[in-house]
Amino acid sequence: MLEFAAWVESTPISKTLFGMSWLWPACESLHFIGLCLLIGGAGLLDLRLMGMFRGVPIRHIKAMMPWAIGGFLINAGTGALFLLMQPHLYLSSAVWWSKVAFIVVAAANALFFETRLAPSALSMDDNADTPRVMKVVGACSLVSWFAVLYCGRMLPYLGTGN
Amino acid sequence: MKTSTRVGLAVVGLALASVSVAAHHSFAMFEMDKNVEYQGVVSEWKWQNPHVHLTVDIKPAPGIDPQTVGRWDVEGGSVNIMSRQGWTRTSYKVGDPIRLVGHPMKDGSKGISLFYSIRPDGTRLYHDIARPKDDVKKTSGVLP
Amino acid sequence: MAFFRSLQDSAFTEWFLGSDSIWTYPTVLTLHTVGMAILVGASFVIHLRVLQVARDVPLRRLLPLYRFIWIGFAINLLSGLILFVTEAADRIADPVFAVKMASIAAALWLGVIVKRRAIDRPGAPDVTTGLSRSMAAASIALWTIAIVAGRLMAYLKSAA
Repeated sequence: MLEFAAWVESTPISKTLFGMSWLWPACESLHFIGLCLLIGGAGLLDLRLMGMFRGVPIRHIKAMMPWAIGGFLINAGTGALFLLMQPHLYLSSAVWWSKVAFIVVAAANALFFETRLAPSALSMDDNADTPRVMKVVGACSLVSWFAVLYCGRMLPYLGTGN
Repeated sequence: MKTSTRVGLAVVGLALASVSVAAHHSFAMFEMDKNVEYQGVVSEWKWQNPHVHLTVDIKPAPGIDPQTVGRWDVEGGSVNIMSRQGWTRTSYKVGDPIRLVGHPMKDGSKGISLFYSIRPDGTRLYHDIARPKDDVKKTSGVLP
Repeated sequence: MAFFRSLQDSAFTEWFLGSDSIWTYPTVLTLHTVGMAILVGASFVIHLRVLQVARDVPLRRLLPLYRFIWIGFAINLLSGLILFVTEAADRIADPVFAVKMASIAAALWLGVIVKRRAIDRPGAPDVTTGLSRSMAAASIALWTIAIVAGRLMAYLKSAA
């Protein structure tokens, strides 16, 4: 992994990007803004799935989701840039791989919702309590994204976990 | 353009504009692929999060590159990560001689991103798990 | 000024910043990020709704989100105070810190006004007015500035 990271860091694109000193701090700021949009927007839907805001149609709440997705895309993009500029900080880190794992869990959970639960979610009685599977999906999403946040923020301290 | 789109673009624009002044001690200001050795005396030692920080005074002497003479700011990693590499609060103190290898600032000012220090017995204290490609490009008079 | 210097040079600061436990500095810093996600996340959602995103959701139905704003704020006030103590002398003279504090105060204040005008006021319509929208947009911008200022504080430290 360290050799691969060293190779990436020797490429012209990596050097050029990392050579722009303002880019790294800019990406960090965008990454924080993105996470607020993601956790805010997805959190709203997750809370609805968990039974909060009963009476508000789920499909109306979902209209906030493009902003959550926008936040996710900002973070995927800035994340890719971090990885491209300084891969050695991440590729050998168990904490970083844990972060990736939690992102995969969150994404898989969202996919499960979209493909299996969305039809019933969008047509269910708005005043009824949400079924347990929906509550679990909502809770799983919130927990996963906060776990992603935790792993990301603890990286410079937990590091490699060794 | 919808109001909400305007808001989104403004947010991104603000973030980017506000950060262009930053980069003062961003580690993106260091030449991370250049390893330089320095030898001097510790004039400040701060064993603290988020970054361990020390300053090293390099005096003119035979074999010392005159360009390295002066006071250098050395930036390390977190106390947590460095502890795991063997560093302690008492690894160095003010007045101790120190040999270290680090990455200098791109703009030539006296700042170093710490890579590892070399103990008197020759062992290396790394700041994190990254290991050198073993090409110390320049020394300040210390035999490699 | 001497008061802030005594905080920064205190035994607590030396212990807290020099501790290699993840339960001290790293945990407080992470809690600050969690608080931010909750506080700003909820604020973004409410004010995006005021800007007519997800316009079919009645504004009043979002009132429970304010609980999260105050929870997030409480977490960050506490974690922020701890972090401030360890750098009190440096930060009290730091213009970036001043910008962050001013932005947060302004964002919260605008948030309260928007709540009163667009949500609490009897008869407030679900289609918001231009003034409420302007204030909501300003609130979003101010939270953004607060976040950027918070990040910049790490880079523009006074001589570390």
